[in-house]
Amino acid sequence: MKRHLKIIRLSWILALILLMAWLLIQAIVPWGKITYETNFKKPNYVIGRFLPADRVVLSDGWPSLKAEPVYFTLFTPRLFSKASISFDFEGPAELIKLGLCRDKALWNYDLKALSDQPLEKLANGDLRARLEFDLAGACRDKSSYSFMISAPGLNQADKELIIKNIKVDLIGVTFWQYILRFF
Amino acid sequence: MKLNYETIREVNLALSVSLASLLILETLWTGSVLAYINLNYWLILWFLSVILLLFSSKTENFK
Repeated sequence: MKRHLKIIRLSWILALILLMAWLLIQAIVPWGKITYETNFKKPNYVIGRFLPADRVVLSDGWPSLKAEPVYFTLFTPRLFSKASISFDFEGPAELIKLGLCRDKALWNYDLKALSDQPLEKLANGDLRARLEFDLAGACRDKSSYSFMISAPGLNQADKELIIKNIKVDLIGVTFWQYILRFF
Repeated sequence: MKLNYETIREVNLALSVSLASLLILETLWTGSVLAYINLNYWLILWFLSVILLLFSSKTENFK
C-alpha cells in the first residue's frame, strides 16, 4: 500500500472512531447533565417544531402563536429526572402556561403559569421565564417528552405570542450512578 | 497528490464504512446520529464518490 493511502486510511479510521465516540457520549450523557437550545432559526432535531402548524406563523423568522394550545417535543436519547426550561418570548406573560405531558391518554398536562415565575426582562425587551419540571412519570413517546404551550384568551386579546428562544437544561443520574444500581 | 483510482477508492471506502456505521448506530439507538448529523449530505457525498470511482475505473481500464 502506498504511503499516502496509508495516511488517508489511518486518518479516516481515527476520525470515524472519534465521531462514533462523540455521538455515543452525546447519547449516554455520562456526566448526567446536558443543555439543548434552539432559537428557531434552523430546524432542531432535539426541540421539535410547534404543532399544529396552522396555529403558528413566522414573524421575522420566529414562531408566532396565533391560536392555542400548541405542542412541542423534546427528544432525549436517555432518561432524565429534571428539566429546567428557559423560555424567551414576546407577548402577554399573564396568559401563558407551559405544561409537561403526564398522561397522553387522559391528555393530562402539568401546566405552570409563567406569571407565577420570576420574569427577567432582557436587553431587547423580551421576557425570560424559567420553569422546572420533574420528568419522573412524564409521558414519553419515541424517546421524546411532550410539552404544551397554552395561552387561553390569546385570540380574543388580539395579541400574539412570539417565542424567541427555548433552552432546556436536563439533569439525570450520571453513568456511574446508573452502573452502581446493578451492584 | 494526484486523484487516481486508488485514492478515490479509499475515499469511497471511508464514506461507505462511516455511512454504514452511522446507520447501524442510528438503528440501534434512534436519534443518536440524526440529532447531530444529516445523513442526506453523507449519502450525496457517497453517491458522488461512487460516480467518480466508476468513472475513474473506466478510464483506468482503457489505459
